[in-house]
Amino acid sequence: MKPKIVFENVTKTYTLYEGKFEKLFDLFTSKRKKNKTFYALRNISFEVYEGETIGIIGVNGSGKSTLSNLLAQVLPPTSGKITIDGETSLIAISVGLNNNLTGLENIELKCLMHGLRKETIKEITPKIVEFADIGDFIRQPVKNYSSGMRSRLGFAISVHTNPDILIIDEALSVGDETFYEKCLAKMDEFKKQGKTIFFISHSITQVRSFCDKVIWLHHGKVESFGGIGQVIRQYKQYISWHNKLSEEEQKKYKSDMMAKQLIPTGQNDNVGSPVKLQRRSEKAKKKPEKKGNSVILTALFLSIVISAYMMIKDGFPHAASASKGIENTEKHADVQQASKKTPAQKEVRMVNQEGFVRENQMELFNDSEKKNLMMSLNFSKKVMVLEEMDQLYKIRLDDGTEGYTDQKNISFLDDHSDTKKLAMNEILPITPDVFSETYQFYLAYINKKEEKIKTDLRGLTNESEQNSHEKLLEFGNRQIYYRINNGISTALIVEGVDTNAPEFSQLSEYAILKDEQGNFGLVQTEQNQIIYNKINGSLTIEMK
Amino acid sequence: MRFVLQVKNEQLKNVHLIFRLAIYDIKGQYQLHYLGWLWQILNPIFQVALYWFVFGFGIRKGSPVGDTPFLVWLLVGLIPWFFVGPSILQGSNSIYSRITLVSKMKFPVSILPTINLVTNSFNFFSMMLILVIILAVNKINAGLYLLQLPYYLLCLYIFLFAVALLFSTISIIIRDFQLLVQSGMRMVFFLLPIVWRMDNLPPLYVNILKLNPVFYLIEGFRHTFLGGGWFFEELTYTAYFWSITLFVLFLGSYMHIKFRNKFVDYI
Repeated sequence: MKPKIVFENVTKTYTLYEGKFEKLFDLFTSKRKKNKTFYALRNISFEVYEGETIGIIGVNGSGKSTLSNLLAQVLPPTSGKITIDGETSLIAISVGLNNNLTGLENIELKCLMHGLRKETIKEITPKIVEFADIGDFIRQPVKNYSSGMRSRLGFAISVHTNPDILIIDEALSVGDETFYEKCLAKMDEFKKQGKTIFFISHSITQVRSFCDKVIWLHHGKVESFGGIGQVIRQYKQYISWHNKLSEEEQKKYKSDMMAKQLIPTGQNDNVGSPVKLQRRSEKAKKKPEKKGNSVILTALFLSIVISAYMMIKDGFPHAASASKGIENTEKHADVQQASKKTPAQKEVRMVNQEGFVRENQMELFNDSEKKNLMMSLNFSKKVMVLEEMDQLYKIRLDDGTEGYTDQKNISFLDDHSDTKKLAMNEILPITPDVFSETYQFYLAYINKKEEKIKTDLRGLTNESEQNSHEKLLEFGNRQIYYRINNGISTALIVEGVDTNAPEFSQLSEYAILKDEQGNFGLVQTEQNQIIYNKINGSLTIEMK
Repeated sequence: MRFVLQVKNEQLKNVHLIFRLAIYDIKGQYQLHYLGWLWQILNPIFQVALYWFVFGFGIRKGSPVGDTPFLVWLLVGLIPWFFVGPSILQGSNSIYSRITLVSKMKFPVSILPTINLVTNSFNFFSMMLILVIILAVNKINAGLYLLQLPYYLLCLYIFLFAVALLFSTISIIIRDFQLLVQSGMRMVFFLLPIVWRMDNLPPLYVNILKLNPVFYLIEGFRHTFLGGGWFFEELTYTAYFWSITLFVLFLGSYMHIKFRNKFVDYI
């Protein structure tokens, strides 16, 4: 018959560290310093065959739990070889149940974690519920369970996950007699199915009642392994011998045994050396692959460093903005900013946007070197900006004339310009009384025929030609002029404005367009746009 | 290379298990609360409201970011963060917190960080749905840029998995690491362009902050939902992001496999 489980010279050691830092230090170096090694299990060898039920007994600290963890493959051995043929399942007190979930949910969870299929889980859930037999508590969160209920549920789940090898670690000690009987019945069923069971317990009666063989662990060593009667007799003899000792003798015996398990590293006996040999051979085997790993890691690391360097060194085009999605708003401002940022830029950029002259008597040249003065433009004249280049704009006038001027002379109205509006009567206090008393009358004559004004308004004092198609009609007594373009009045000019009044400075706050000195500005009312001129104290009112 | 493949195969083999366990995780988390899973949504809403009030209303005085309302701008950055933050934080603790649950059986420990990622994904996707509704209400359509979404989701998941795997392994060996991650994440939040714009910083500082790979993800999500850039337009940055992600992935898988058997010893 093939053995189910084979232990060959299995040793499990724990290194005892003096402090936390030594543990960390040990991780990174292979040199072992003065740390002590505790042999939880030392040179254990045994074979177990299919269908056997093995009891594991021993006093506290003899290594029973370590052995059960090795059997369940939860812990790896320090040295030696463990061969296990089949799936193991460890049943311990309150083995990993989720406290917040109900019993039923825990059943599915644990079954899933054991790798069972959905259909199987559905099939065995009622069986588990029946076996655990905890009534309506199955629908309650596990944290409300008593310790007995918890161990019942844990046990019920574990036995139903259909393992080949069962390891029961003192799980039954909390169950009552009725549950104990039930478990025994289940064990017998498993035995009949030919499964291997390890039963770890302090209770000799429990071990005697259903084990075939017993392992007596004593301070990390197998003291005895064999038939149930013989081993238990030896164990009982030891217990009674030990109990007869005086308290001091008991203490001395215990510390002697502990000292044997505790060996300073460096002066290891023959147990330690195979470990090192094995490790060394493993290292040798893995070498080529290790090299490959470090090559990949180094390459990736280099790649990080290089790209990081490139990022920091010259940055990328959009470095300054955390999110570029916003940039294309407020184009006007952008155009201006961009041109300011790059004064040395010689290249030409298309703009194609409406702008306004923000300088009185602005000079317009017909070449980009600013040599030939073409004409001068008045404040607030609307122009089309065609291109931008080194500190210059190329602009086009309404009549198709194209020319060049400094960028600072042209302004783009911002989008909020519509919101800045004055009411006409806010302007009146600064105008002469002769105007403000009947201002609506005068405003009504904007965009009227020259003859109509001449016949309706009396007191024309002067008529002056400005240029070929523009002239002014002066009504000196009323301190107003009408500007006539091609026989139609296009603007009303009011003179004698009080430039010192606080209302005048208010104008500049409302101005959507201003020159640099603050002498000229453009404000808006509901129907009109008004250009103020601080130098000669006049307002030029036009229809929109 | 073997390590990465091994970890990858363990994930693929246990896809069903990962999803079932993630669902139980959520169930377990909120079972004791009267409002249950609603907290998954309520929690972020409170936080969004707070950030909106403090940063949008208090500091920015309600002004929009460009032509995007601040709330929308905030959400597009904050929602990925609500995924990244908890995923890294819980991810780095994922193995430690469950080692007792799985140590008594043979269990592919490498899927524990993934379970965590999936748990947080439920929340993430429900928040994304809300985001889409908000974008539609505000009539913000990034058009073609939305096609980048699968790319950035891929970045997000690979990055988070790599980080969670590495951090969870380290924090088993060195418990202090978990606390370090905790305070680190709190700092990182404010060093990302989530609640504030970095326009006023000199480009050099911005570039240094960009070395944080999460920056790449947050910026990517903004580009995707609000438009404004393609990931291949910033090749250097994309190369940087992937180098660091793959580096973390390799290192994480290597350390995980190497120390896996000793996890129980370290606790």
